[in-house]
Amino acid sequence: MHEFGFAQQILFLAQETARLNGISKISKIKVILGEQLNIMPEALEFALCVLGKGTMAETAAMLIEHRKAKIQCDTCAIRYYWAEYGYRCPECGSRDIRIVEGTEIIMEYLEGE
Amino acid sequence: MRKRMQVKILTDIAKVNADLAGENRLFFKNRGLTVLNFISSPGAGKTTLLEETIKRVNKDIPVGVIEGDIQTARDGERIGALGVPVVQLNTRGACHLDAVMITRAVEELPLEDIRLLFIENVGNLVCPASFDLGEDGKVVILSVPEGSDKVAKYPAAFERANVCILNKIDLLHYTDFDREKFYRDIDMINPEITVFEMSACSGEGMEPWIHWLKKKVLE
Repeated sequence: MHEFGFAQQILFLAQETARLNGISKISKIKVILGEQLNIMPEALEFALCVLGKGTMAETAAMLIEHRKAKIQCDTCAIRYYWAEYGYRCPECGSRDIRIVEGTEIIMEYLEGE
Repeated sequence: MRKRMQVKILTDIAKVNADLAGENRLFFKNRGLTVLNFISSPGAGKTTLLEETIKRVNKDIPVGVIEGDIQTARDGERIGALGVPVVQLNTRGACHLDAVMITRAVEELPLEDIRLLFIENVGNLVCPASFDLGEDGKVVILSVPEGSDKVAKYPAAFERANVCILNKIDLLHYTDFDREKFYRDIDMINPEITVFEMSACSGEGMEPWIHWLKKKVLE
């Protein structure tokens, strides 16, 4: 539901980076999307499309890589996927766990000319 | 023709908010302020809970409130009527409060007169859970009429909260709310969470929560 806020930040960072690197037209923006952020990729793309109108990112394509949420068990030190086993360690049954991956939205790179 | 190029950025956009929240947290800590972020669906009873809580603690602990709503100043007016300082934020469509909104809002509060700051987030059980504001703890409120299945269906808020308030327990008889299932799901998702059952409207079950709150401020 909060895709527009993120799209705005992505657009801001993309334009900054492009300017610093002498790019005047952005053709691609690559983003890694963590599972736990509750972001719909289609909505993020749509938001970037709307906000990007009239900017150097107007025709930029967005490439999205999904990153599953990963959990570390602090009792037996294994890592597992949250979507498969949830909040209880499948190895030792411990709930002494923490999320180590999947809460991020990383702008990895942009392409342009 | 100019050359096509790729520029690595590798910046976590979510970190922008996380960093600002960290600054807020340090600011609150240095001022000795305890800050709680209240999250729930619309209509779970956040504002009523705040009103009834303020009436019970404000004599001992001076309270301030930041009210987040998409539109209107109605909640801010309700809280203001109790004589406590309040800042009303209107997000005008945004589904959650973020750290920078809080940074700006606290500038408008008489912080020297406040020890306990309540932030009432936008009514939404999904997005507010993803945005750290710099608070000391999250309080998630679930009301009985919403149904006992909501914990498992919207786990993020319950997973990240320190306290869960099961509100409107005076309506248990009129609904099919499954208390056992509720506790089973809570225990799966966040066994550390402290649960208080109450009806903010009737006042039933408020005392243990008030006791917890006073202890938290004195910590």
